[in-house]
Amino acid sequence: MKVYYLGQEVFNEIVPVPPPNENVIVTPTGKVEYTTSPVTVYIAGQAVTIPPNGTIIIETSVYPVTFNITSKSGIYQWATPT
Amino acid sequence: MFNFTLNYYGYIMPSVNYTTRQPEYNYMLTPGIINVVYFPLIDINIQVLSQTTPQYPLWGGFVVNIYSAVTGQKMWEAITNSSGYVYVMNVPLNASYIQPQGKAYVMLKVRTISPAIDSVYPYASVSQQYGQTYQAYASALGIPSGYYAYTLGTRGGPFDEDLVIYYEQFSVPVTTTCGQVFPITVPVENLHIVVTDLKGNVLSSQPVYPCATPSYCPSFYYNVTLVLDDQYSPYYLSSQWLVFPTYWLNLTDFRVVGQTWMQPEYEALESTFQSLIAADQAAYQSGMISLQQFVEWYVGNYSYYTLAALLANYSTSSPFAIFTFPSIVPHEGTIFVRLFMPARHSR
Repeated sequence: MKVYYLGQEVFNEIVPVPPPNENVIVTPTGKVEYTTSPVTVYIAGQAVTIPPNGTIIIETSVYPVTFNITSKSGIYQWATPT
Repeated sequence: MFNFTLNYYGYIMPSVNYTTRQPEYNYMLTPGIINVVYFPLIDINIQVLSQTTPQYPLWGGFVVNIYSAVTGQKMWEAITNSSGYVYVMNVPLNASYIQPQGKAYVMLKVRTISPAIDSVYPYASVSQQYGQTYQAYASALGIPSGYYAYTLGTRGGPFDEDLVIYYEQFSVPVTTTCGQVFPITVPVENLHIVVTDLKGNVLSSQPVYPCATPSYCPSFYYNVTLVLDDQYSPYYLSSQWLVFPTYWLNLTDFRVVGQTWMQPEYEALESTFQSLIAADQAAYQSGMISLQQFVEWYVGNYSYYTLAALLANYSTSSPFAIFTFPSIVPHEGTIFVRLFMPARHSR
């Protein structure tokens, strides 16, 4: 599978289908990890738990960048492709 | 006085009363007439269903194997017919009087076809009668002899042959009626995919400002695109349900593109082409265009309409990269088929 983000390819690996009672995490280097534990991801900063239910979690080579904007109040979170 | 014991694939069972299904001993045999003795074995139907919503019977060649839980010997093999059914003869009842104690069940396996194994299996005559053999499957698909038939909706050999997707204990209650249907749900299901960055943040569509000062130009969103990039689809090795040589009814194709937050866009496109199709029909009915023009316009608009519908189905309605790619089980009205199941790898 491939993932494109902001116009760049950020993932290109072979992805397995997990059994219905497991999840699988695939990293940008193609490392495959099956797990029966819940996986926590963050949707707009909110933690969301994915139970072991046959979900594929694709980890792309995108790292979050935190900007500290000192002249104004607030912290801004962004993410960019590597 | 006689007692009868049957040793059947390692299951040791007494003769039983036909009605009560409880052990029956001390038979008096009468010379010159046929004496009938019953054993606690029964014929059943197994229906193999997908785990999708709605569930569909898995026709398209799933092999059902029954193994003895005592000896491990294969007791039955048959291939699902167009209703996903397999008829299985002589399954032991789950009765406490069957020895060894607590083993009165069988192992039930569901797997994809392996032509080298399944084309030479000596199928029971009842399997032939119900079209539940490899040969019946291959000929239902219109596959000429000399070509291998693989499970429809998979890539065939070598990737997807002999994939075991279900292997569980299976017991038949003592109260089972002859030919009773036991539905078995196997993990042929929709693919759920969550795309994150390296820290577990789910990726989302991002606003892009195509000039230096955002207020001077309208922004647009770059979506996150997930591609199931399968350069060999439609699979030349997979089984295609066809009217030989060129008219395909079903093709196995795993190519999918999903885009975040694009579902509303593609749905709008769908309705645009829907109204164009309606306008074509109205124009033809009122005599404004010829039949030939109508057909050409209709086909053109219809192909854009189905493409928009396809992309709408794979895209998400929210900005976040949480996708569902459906398994498409062969059934009435499908052209492309694809079955996602465990142990299967996608490029």
